[in-house]
Amino acid sequence: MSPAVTNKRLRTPWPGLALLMIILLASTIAILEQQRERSLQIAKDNANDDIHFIKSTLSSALQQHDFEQLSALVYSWGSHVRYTHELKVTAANGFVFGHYRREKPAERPYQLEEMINYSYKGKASLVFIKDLGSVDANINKLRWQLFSGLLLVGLIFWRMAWLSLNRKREALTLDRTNHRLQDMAEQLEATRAYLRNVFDSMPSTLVAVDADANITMWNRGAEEESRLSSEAVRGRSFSDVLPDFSSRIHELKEAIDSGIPARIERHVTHTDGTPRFSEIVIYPLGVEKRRGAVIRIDDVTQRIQMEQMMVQTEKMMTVGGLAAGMAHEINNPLSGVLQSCQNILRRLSTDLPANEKTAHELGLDLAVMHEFLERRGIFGFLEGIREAAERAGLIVADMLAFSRRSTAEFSPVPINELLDTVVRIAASDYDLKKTYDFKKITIVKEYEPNLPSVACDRTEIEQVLLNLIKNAAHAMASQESSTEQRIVLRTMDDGRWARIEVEDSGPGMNEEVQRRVFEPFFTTKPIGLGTGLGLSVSYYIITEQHKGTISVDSMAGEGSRFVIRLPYRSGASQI
Amino acid sequence: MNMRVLIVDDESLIASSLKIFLEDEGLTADTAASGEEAVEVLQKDKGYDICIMDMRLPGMDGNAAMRSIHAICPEVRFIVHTGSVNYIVPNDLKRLGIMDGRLFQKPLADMAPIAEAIKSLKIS
Repeated sequence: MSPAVTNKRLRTPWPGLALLMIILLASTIAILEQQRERSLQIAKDNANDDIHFIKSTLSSALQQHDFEQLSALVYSWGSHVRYTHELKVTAANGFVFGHYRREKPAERPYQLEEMINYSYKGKASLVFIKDLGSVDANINKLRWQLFSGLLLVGLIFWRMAWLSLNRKREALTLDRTNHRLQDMAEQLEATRAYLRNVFDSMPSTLVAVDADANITMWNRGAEEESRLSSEAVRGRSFSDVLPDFSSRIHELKEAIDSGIPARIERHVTHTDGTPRFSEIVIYPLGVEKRRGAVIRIDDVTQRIQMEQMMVQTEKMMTVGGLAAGMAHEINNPLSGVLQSCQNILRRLSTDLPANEKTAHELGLDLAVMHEFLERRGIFGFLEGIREAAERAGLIVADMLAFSRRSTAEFSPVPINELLDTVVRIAASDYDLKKTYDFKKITIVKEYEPNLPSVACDRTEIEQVLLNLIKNAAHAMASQESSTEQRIVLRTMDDGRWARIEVEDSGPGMNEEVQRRVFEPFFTTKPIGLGTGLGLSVSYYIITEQHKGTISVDSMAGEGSRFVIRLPYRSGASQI
Repeated sequence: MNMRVLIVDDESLIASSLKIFLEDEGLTADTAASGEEAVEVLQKDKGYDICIMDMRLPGMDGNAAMRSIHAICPEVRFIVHTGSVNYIVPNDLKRLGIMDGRLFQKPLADMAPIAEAIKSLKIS
């Protein structure tokens, strides 16, 4: 409620009205008093006139000594003249000539006396009393009439005032009610806005639908996700607006009908070829006549990818644990095989003086024996044994990388410089069996010149990058020779991260390969060329040891791009 | 002067093949299958210059064996030949200065570097 309304007071008209009444009353009394005085005066004047007239009439009657007539005359006068209370004519000797008197006692007697002289020594007194009470009574009557009139007027005024007051009060009450309603409306609007806000601020896509799966509400998350405004979709059917989810209409209707919430944990959609995972939760609205549901859709792609990565890491840890226990047991026999192999080769050679000596004792021609072994392919077999054992040793060493706890102190490493070193190592890495020729490859360096140093284990990161570059070289070598072989090395500053990209123009990978590329023992190389551990070791080094991320981005036929993100400061584990 | 080498390894094939290699290189080598056996050999014959030591051994481990042998023959120098990637030389052994700085990781596809290491120890 606004304070202006609450503080507004109605002023009662009483004091003013009362004052007006008093003034009116006082002036009325004054006027009436004056009027009474005047009326009395007139009545007195009339009485004087009357007595003079009576005196003269009586005087002539006394002259004629017609005393009989006098009595009737007195009576006649007495009864005819207004207000007469008593008229008495008395002779000097006390003889009463005539007497008129009303029964009622005079209220306001006005007495006049006159002496009448008639004939010789004849003297009579005339007493004339007028009762001016009636004048008073008239005035009083008038006064009461006026007073009651005034009272009536007052009452009317009061009533009118009261009515107007009431009207004002009613208006005020109405005003207040209006305000209260307005306040309530405002509050309702505020609540509505608040709820809308709550609805909108949910990062999920929230869609409310009615019983026929037509959209009634649509939050901001939904607007952003679909690029359709809330107004544009209201009333439209769920499956029309969200065709990606139209396959779930059955579940939606079932949930609405049964009133039991439904959850679809992994709804897969494909936007421009990449799979996206959504979690859909349907909450039925249980109001009898207004059935419907609220549908929450969350993009859980990242989470699911994370889960997949966790599984990946888990697998590697298992391999690591296994490797640690196995390594020693395998390395010992391998040592025996390799060392023995080396001894055999040496003792079959013609260079060792001890061989010569023994051969001489036995009468054996070493050169002939060597020729024999050569022709029978013995050296090839031995070389085969050595290579096989060496490869087994490499696999064990790679597997051991998973179990290795990084004990090295991280030191700041300038990544651009590190990449240059790795390119030099790769160029000098000459391997007859691996068919690529590093000289054919164009290396494009797109470095961020001001990239800060990254706290990391230099040899490990070197190992990862070397692995990526070698893989790229190998992948490109498998293509037709006409294709340009190009590796782009890119560095970028990505907030808290240093981003390193290794991009090749090779054959790329399909989705299946991309998904499995970091898996231990997964390889696309021919048997004998790869252990299938290189990338999983890289993955382990980047994600576990350095708390970074490594991912691959590729299209079959269009090359691959590996993206590594390393936190500038180690220990930053958030992604 | 001929160098005498004692190879300590519980894996007889490793010990013997190493022995043969070193003998072909013109060195004199003997083997012991455990730390205890090595200590015993050294107690009887203090004429060894170098000991090639495996780490994971039955009974006393390589480090303990090195400490015991050093106590008997302070002039014996050690070369570690181990299958464990996580092996770190303990500080007390490092301080004694009785070891070659390098560690030899099993499996060795080529034993020549060990021979070289022995020869370099001989020079020093």
